[in-house]
Amino acid sequence: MVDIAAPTAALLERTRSQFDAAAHALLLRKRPAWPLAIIRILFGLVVFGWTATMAVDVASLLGSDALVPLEFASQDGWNWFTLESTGAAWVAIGVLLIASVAITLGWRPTAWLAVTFVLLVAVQRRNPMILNSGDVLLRNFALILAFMPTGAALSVDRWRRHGRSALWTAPDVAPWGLRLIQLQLCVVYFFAFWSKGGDLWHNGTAVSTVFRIDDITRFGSPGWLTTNVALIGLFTWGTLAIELALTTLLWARRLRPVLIGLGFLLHFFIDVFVLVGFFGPLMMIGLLSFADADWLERRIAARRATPQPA
Amino acid sequence: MSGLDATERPDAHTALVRTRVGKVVVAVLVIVMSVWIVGPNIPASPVRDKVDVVWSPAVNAGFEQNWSVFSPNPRAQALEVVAVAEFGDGTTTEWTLPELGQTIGAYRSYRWRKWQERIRLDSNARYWDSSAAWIARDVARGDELPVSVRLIRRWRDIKPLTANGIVDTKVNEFEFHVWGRVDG
Repeated sequence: MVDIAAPTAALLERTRSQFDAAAHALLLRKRPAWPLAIIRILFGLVVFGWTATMAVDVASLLGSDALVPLEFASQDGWNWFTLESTGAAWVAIGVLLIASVAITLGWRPTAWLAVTFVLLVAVQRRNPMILNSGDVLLRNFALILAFMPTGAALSVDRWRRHGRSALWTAPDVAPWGLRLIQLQLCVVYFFAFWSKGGDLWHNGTAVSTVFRIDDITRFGSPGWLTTNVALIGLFTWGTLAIELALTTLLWARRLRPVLIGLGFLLHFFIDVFVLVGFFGPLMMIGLLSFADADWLERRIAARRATPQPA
Repeated sequence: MSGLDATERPDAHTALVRTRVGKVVVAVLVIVMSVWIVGPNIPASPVRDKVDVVWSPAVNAGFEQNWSVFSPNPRAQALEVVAVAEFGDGTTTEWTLPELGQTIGAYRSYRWRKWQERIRLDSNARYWDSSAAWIARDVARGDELPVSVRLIRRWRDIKPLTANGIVDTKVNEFEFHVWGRVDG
């Protein structure tokens, strides 16, 4: 009889140690905080843009006498608090504007990101008739970013703790929070791809239909493009291919720069032709979570080392 | 270390994973958040109904997931919602969505377009009267509200692209709600 206990134990031990090493590399091995800082600044600017554009329409969309009256505010989920008047809506918008500036500058960003999440949920549940995917993504990113040390670099917090000279340096941080935003991004791409099961996506004509939905096009229907079978096929299947690639291949380090570029191109074209609000900018911010922190550190260090003209 | 110097204290986030307890906390947090991100996207099924409770706290808190865009096919209609307001003297005025421009304004107008896309649906009939009342206030001449506001949806079917090009279709129109001023 062959004794399999020893080889099995060795195999289990080897597997466990490989798993530990992979988990450590994925979640714990420290990297420069540059990507987090860049994401935080850009996210703060998007929150500012979202809030400023909403501020213009507070009375019409969120006020006491808005298009959608208070009794039809979303009753889904927990009500953090309800915006029961135009004044309450203005307070929420005002605090969101302050939060967006604080996040951009890196002044206690974790606390302000949590505040932003709560306020976005309250504002968005006040009028569910006007929301799109970008609005939901905005609050999801706010919550996920609250789990990250986003103020570790390029921030007022760093300036206050370590002085002005520290502003252009970044500490190394554990990347476990960053993995959550990367997961959220890949989930968006995967389910956007997965749900496109209709015949128009399969036969390569879906983008022609999208371009002819006049009420969602930004500059009107691009007539010459909607009838070009070859280009429409390329755009339709290209969209599916890029979405699938961004779900899976983005994790392959070598392919990452190309895929980030393709993702930017995809969202740029969508934004040019279709009214998608803040969805495109947010997805581009999400793509930056895959930026190579070590590469960024080398570039910035080289720039720091270059003598500046007197 | 790429920061100031090797003695710089790590942030709380990084310090957390220096202890065994901290590592367990991070592992639990990452697993829970991952389930909250992935779970709500699972297609509806009896199995999903059983495990929904795992991510319902996240959804209730506002951490939602729904990423179906132009799916399973893009909408096969171009549409517009307009309102015709009639005043006491018999004159009428047509209300349309605000024109907000294509650059910065595009980041406002997507909200109005979403409202337009949803308000036309019979399933949203509960919103019709209040929307028409809002339009009445929007087109009021000073203190004078219109006596009625008719909500009208216009749509054009979009036929799929074929090798022979595209087929133009006519615009349809349907009055789906009438609001009347209540005096007194």
